[in-house]
Amino acid sequence: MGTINIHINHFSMGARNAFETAARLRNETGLSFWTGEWVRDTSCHMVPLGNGPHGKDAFIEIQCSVDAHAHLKETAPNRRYDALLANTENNGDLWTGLMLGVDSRADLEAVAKRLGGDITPDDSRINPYNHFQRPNGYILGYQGGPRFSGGQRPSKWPADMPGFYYYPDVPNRTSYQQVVPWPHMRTPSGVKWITFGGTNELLSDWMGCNAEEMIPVKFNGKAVGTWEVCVGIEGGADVVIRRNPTALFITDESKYRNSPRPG
Amino acid sequence: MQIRLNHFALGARNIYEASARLLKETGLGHQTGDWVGNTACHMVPLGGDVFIEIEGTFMSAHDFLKMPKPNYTYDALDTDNEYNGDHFTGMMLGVDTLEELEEIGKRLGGGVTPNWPDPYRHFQRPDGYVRRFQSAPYYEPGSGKSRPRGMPNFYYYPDIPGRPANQPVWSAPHLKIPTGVKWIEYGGTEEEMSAWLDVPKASDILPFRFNGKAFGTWAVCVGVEDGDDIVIRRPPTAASIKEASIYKSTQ
Repeated sequence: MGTINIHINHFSMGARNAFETAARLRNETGLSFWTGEWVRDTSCHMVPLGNGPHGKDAFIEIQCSVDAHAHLKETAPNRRYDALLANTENNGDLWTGLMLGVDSRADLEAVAKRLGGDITPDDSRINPYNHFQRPNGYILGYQGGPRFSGGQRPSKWPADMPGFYYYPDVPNRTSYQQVVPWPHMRTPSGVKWITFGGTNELLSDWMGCNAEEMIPVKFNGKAVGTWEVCVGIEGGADVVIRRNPTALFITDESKYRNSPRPG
Repeated sequence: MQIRLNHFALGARNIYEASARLLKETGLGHQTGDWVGNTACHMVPLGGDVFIEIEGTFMSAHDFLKMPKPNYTYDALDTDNEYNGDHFTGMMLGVDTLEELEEIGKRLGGGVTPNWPDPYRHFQRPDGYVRRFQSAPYYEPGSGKSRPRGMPNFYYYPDIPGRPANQPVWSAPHLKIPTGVKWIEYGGTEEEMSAWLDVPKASDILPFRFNGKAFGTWAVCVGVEDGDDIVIRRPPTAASIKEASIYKSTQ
């Protein structure tokens, strides 16, 4: 396992209104975004963070539900919805996920197997609705893991431990697409560090390596999840993006763990 | 006064799915990222300064649930059809000056919407551009007046280069280039629309075809360069709302 290179792939920022959130984040940081990506009933505004030495061409996906009809027909508890409703800062914005990347499908399979799961299928061509799509018709094929049988994550792992992803199409990576021009836009130069909840022991156990040596992570011992992301800026001061993590607002995980809907 | 087509509103449960499906159906591309309040719009230029705004409420998990119920548009979109619930939710006509808009608003017993200083009440684009507009007829809240459902309202867009119809669309394979609206199938009758527009014959100034059914847009025919005309058919919201009296009047 020590030979697997694990990097920061992306961060999910849940929003009640991805449009408002993206505009506000840009006013706050100077980091612009591009629009139009979606998967099922979720819309994403994408914020490239640059290609630094640690956060390999990472990005933020600002995501929100866009289909009220689908949402109202859901019967399973919706963890993200409940957390977004509870948070009162930044119009509800929350860090909803840290996603790590590996460089090959074999690496992804090895990571998933070690954690007792498997990986999602490579079905982007036969089931595009389950994959990210862009307005030009491009479908972003990727695979993720670990996927646990029946959706039941072993109880030893908190809900917001990072997922692992393999994106085979490097030129079309989200972080390489052009953002919308804007006055005073800044050019990001990569993720410098992140603050994550929990401890290095916990994340290292999950990653199968010394997390602090593999990715630029600091720990605050609080609820598991992303708390801060520091982004380098060409010709300027670093930007630190602070939002609350989802787990801060979910006091009882049990009803979500028993739900067929992924957390 | 010249009255022309400005745009059509196409309500969707999921505007991303709806615009991708419309692209496959017609070859007409769209812009993304336009939004106003809690509504997101994908814009589909049709040629000749006219466009479709595919609109959907987002914040669905939050603000939407706080909106007054019953909700006329939501309930129409919740009606299943062969287009995943898509409905034409409006036809908007355009005039060339604020004075003309005020004249129409006055004739219809109201006024025009204020030029709201708050950008949150106007369409915004990802580049920060705020597209200001005013519309009529506008009735003050609590006045007891409302526009008949399904009848078009009127808009004045002062920034012509900034109109959605003049913005580039996302590139996609097999895109077609639209050349303008050739005809519109609309509910009601020639007489009813002529009275609303205050003209002798509505179909003399706009390419209407009336079907006598519920008010609203039923079909839009768009010409394309080097190809057959495209006909976009969706039901109007009024066709799916059998008992409108339970809904509060809206602007």
